[in-house]
Amino acid sequence: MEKLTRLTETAPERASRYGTLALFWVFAIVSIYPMIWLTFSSFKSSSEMFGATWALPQRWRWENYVAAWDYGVSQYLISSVIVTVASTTIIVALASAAAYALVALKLRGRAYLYLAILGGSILPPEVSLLPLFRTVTALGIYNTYWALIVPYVAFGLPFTTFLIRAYMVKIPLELAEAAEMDGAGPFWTFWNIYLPLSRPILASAALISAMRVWNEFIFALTFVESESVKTITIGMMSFANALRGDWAVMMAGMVISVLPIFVVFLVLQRQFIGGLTQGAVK
Amino acid sequence: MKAQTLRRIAPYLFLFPSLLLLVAFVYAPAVENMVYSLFSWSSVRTDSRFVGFDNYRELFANPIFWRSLVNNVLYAVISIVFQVFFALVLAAVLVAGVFGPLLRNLFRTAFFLPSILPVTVVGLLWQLIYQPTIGLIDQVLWATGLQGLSHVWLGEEATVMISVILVSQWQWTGYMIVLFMVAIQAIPNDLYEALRMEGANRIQQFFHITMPGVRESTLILAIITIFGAFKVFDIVWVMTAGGPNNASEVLGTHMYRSAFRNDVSGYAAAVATVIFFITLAVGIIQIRLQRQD
Amino acid sequence: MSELRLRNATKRFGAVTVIDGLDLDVHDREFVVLVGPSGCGKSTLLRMIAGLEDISGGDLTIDGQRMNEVPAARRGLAMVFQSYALYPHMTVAENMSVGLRIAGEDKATIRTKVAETARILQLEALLDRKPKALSGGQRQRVAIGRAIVRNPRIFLFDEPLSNLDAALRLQMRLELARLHGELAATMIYVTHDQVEAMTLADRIVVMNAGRIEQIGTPEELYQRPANLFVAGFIGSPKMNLVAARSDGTAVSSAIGRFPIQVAEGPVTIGVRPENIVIGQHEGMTTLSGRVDVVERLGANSFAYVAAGDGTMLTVELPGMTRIRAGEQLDLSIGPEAATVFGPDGALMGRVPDR
Repeated sequence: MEKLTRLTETAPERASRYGTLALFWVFAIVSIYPMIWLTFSSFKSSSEMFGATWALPQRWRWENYVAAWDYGVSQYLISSVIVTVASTTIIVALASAAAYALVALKLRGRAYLYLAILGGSILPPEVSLLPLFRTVTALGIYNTYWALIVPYVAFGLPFTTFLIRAYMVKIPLELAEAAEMDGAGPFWTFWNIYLPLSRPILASAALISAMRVWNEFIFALTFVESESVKTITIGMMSFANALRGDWAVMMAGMVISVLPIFVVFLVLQRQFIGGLTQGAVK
Repeated sequence: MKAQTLRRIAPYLFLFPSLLLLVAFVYAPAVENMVYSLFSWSSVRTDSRFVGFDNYRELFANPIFWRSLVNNVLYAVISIVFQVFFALVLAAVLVAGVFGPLLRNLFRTAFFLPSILPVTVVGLLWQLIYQPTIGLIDQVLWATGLQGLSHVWLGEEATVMISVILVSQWQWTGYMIVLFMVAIQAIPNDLYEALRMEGANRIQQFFHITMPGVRESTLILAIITIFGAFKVFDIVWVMTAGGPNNASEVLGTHMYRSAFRNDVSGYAAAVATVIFFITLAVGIIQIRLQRQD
Repeated sequence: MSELRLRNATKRFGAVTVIDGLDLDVHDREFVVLVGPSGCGKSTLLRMIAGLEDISGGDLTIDGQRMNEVPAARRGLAMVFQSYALYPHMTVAENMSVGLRIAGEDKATIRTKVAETARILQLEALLDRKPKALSGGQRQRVAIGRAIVRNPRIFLFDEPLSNLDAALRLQMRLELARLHGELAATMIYVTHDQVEAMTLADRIVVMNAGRIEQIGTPEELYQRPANLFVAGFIGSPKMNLVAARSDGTAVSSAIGRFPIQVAEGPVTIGVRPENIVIGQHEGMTTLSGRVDVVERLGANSFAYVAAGDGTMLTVELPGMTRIRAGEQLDLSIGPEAATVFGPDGALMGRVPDR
């Protein structure tokens, strides 16, 4: 009875609310403090890093960044940008074409074709790694950007097609039929109706693909070896190995490698999370 | 006549490049891999010898293989605890409006941020954090007078695997929280209102509405998590490369080392095949669930 | 000239036959309405004509030319969809000109044709708007405009008015009738609403379960429904249908005995509500019943009357009738007002007109 008539918060309720809040602050700090620490440390001298872990840098040592940049980070960044832009463009182009056919065109065995594409998403790259290494070598593209771009596209297609298809399914089929009555062929309808109407999901799909490619590890580790074609994820490994001891410069390099994604994420957070969640949750 | 033929095949032209790439670079290599696993060969020698299931026999007799498998299972279990149960509860609290919208968005972004970092950066960063004496962990322990708990986290066989696994939880729990938030927000609000009218508190609401409402999503996310745990490679490779003394070896690193360091490709292919069948089982369940829309 | 002819047209989806060997002729400048309950196959038939569905069997010819394998785009038809299917990212003018642009017409011609069509449909002020910024009726007109611009041989309409509210539906119905006259075009129109069918059609095709039940002018369908299905489907409120029995000289039922000579056996008697007269009249079949409900529509009213054994009859009354629910009512039905259907549901015959 008392429970029903009570209108304001009771003391134990308030305590549990503040307790929850405190707990969330702890989690939030655990989540982001390592990044803050990384950023601050990257501006310190190595001795300062060990001696005054928690303090702000005495002086903002931009020279750490210059050193890291000159040490090869710039080249890794260029490689990463090239591979990411190329892979993402091809993935989104092919996936949207496939999604369009699966949604709007008359296909025999549509369900099986879709399954044939979706099935790729359950194959971890490790399983194909060895034979893929031989394929890449046989094609003569080992240690070139193509050795990364082609596998990235192949492995990126299932999820991206899934994502775009889920969106295109919601475009009324009558639009495609109206276009057909208007005399349009499948290519016209794809280019003039489905692509423009799918713009929001294309942005999300591109963003997610780009992020995955940018962060990809095992192919980048295996299919290229020259410093000049290494992407930043792998480049950072050789960079770190070379710089064991010069922690601050190494950390400056790490900050540089994170910065592009960080900026993109903060600017396009909505499309980003929108796309991710659309793919994973129904 | 020609135009008509084009019309009939046009739909397939849209699919052809995707299917071709998938077959050539995803499916065919996976099949090839299984064939390789029946041979003894290496990259230096061009000849290869059919050995039947010898590679598998060797594999099942190898304690490192079993250790890797156990580590993967450990990885999966801990990931389920953090990225499914823990993430679900945190997401429910965030959605329930315990905090204002500003604080909620702040927490969400804070939790999510680690997931956008490249794995190399995460690995190197946590290597530094785990460093004895100078690393953040030891600094905290010393500052709080708990230096007795200090370990060479990544250097001792007892602590290395759990240390690496926790880094993954740090990176991915926030990501899962965001996914769960979306799933919870999809539950119609009037269900909560109806229950609240009957005087149910937040914990009762969680068990009676949130849990059943996200059951399907939870299942899918749990499967994605398990899937990830069995194909894990990168974070382990960056942080420990499976060491010390194979203590943090997982199937992925075991396979990679066998193929590209020890040059026993047939054996590596056998490890990869094992990964394939484990993930295939998990993946088939996932596709089944996802196709029910 | 635009003439369409279907012979033995069949559509199968796997093992299910949705259109079953159907024959139909649509003449030049005719307004033909396909009507029937949902699932009867009328939309499928229209889509087969349009080229959006393959034809499983039989022939479709337009102006004597076989069209089965001709792609939709080259049949010279235009279609107005139930949802209008306007391209949401294009303006009204762009929507209307898509067909011409694909056909490669030059810009000046396109502009002239779009302007002319916009004038006919009073869309001039809206040409630069996107569909989102239009009302339901305006969208409907744009969809029709998109069809007109292409100057098709035949217009196809797939339930074009079902997304509009009642008032707009009436207005658009009048507009369509006007357009049909103005454009002197051949039109095939699908609806489940028999009022639309009655008001718009030169000829109505009543469909049921993938087959044609009857083809005829609205008057023919109303006056001489070929079977029970058509009798029940055409007319609002529905024709009264009462189980009866013929002894060869007359037909007797719960609502009385009618001097109609048809073959012996079980039959059904059909009487339209407006053909039942109040009071007892000489030379007619008379009966008495209790008024259950009276619906007043203003211009006329409908009484639902329970005859002696509980059989319900709908009776049309004048608008301002004094009759109230609960009253006892005498009714008369002339022999010429009764239609008789045989045990198979087909029309049996009537006493010849006097």
